[in-house]
Amino acid sequence: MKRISASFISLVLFLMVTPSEGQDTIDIPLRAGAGISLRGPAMMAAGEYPMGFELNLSYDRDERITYLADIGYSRFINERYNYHYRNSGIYIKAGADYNLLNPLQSQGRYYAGIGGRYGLALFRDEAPFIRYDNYWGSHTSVAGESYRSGHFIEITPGIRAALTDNLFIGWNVNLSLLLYTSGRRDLRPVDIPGFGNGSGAVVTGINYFISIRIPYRTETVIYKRRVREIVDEDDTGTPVQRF
Amino acid sequence: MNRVISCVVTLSFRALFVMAVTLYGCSPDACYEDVESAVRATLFLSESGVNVAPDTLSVRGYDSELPYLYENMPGKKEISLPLNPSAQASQFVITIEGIKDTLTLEYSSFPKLISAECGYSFFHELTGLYSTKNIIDTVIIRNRDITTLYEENIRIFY
Repeated sequence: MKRISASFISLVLFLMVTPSEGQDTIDIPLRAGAGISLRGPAMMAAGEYPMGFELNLSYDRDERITYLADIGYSRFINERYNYHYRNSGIYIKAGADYNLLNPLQSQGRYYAGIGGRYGLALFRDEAPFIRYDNYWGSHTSVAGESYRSGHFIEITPGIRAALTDNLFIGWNVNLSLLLYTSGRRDLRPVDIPGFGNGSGAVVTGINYFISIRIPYRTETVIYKRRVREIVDEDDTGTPVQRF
Repeated sequence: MNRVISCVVTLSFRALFVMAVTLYGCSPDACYEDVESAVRATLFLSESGVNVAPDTLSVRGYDSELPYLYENMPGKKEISLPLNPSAQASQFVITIEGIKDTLTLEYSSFPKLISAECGYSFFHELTGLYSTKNIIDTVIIRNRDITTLYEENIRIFY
């Protein structure tokens, strides 16, 4: 916990640095790595659905942009008094994150930015029990097993910080928009792996992850440096600028 | 200074925790949507073609066991007729100003997911509409899709 606090304290300190003027260089390690989402294990521990796991792969293109691919498996069961629904399937999300921190602030260890992903889910689902009550009485039906695909996009603002040299933790918020699901339109899936509630077009969520990211190259970045300007007076009272 | 930073970090983690709990807690579990589909019928005077409510109106399913949907109701210009998803036709006895007619609706049915919270409803597609002609003059289909939306599906001229 101390290490986590220290990392976030460092992030806060970097964010508090005054922007600079003039040019200087800094070496930023570009990293590639793999990690896991903590959401699936947390849901499993809580006995909640969807259960599953997600592998996160990342590759820094430069000091600002990181390419990402999230590959996961998800299983969902919902049993209510008026319907039972279950699905299972895999998904892949691919996209990029843009670091809003300047290189001096990020130093290849911190990320606070926004990303975008395109997601594809391949899954099978069924509703083995559907009950509907109306004026004419109680009616039951089923929706048999079907194989489907789902397409969605995500916007993911988030934060990442280095715990140690190569170990990173972070979280992001997912704002997901469902583009298309295959199959009968009237039998939309209750849940879509990697997306969430299939009965809504827009879904929000939060994801925590831990990853190991190894430097594969160092990039020298030129940045503008501005030094705090100190205005003072000499013995005669004339203003003097010090840098 | 260290205390300020410590506070900021602590608050950041607390905010994250609260946000996570809020997002989890926001998973709506209650159903707030209309799940009952029905045929929306509007009543017209055949002489003038104006949407006029009869003095009294009663409607029930064509089965003496079933309760009245509307019983001696004045001022009804529109009525909702739920269909039986387990059958391919539903019949209603409509009594307008004391005179009975039987309305028959033929349709196909299919389940439709309303939401994860509400579950499924049954929607229908109207394929036929008939009526006896004691007081009812004409019946016409305006919109074949029977959903949970309040859209006019049929017109009854009397």
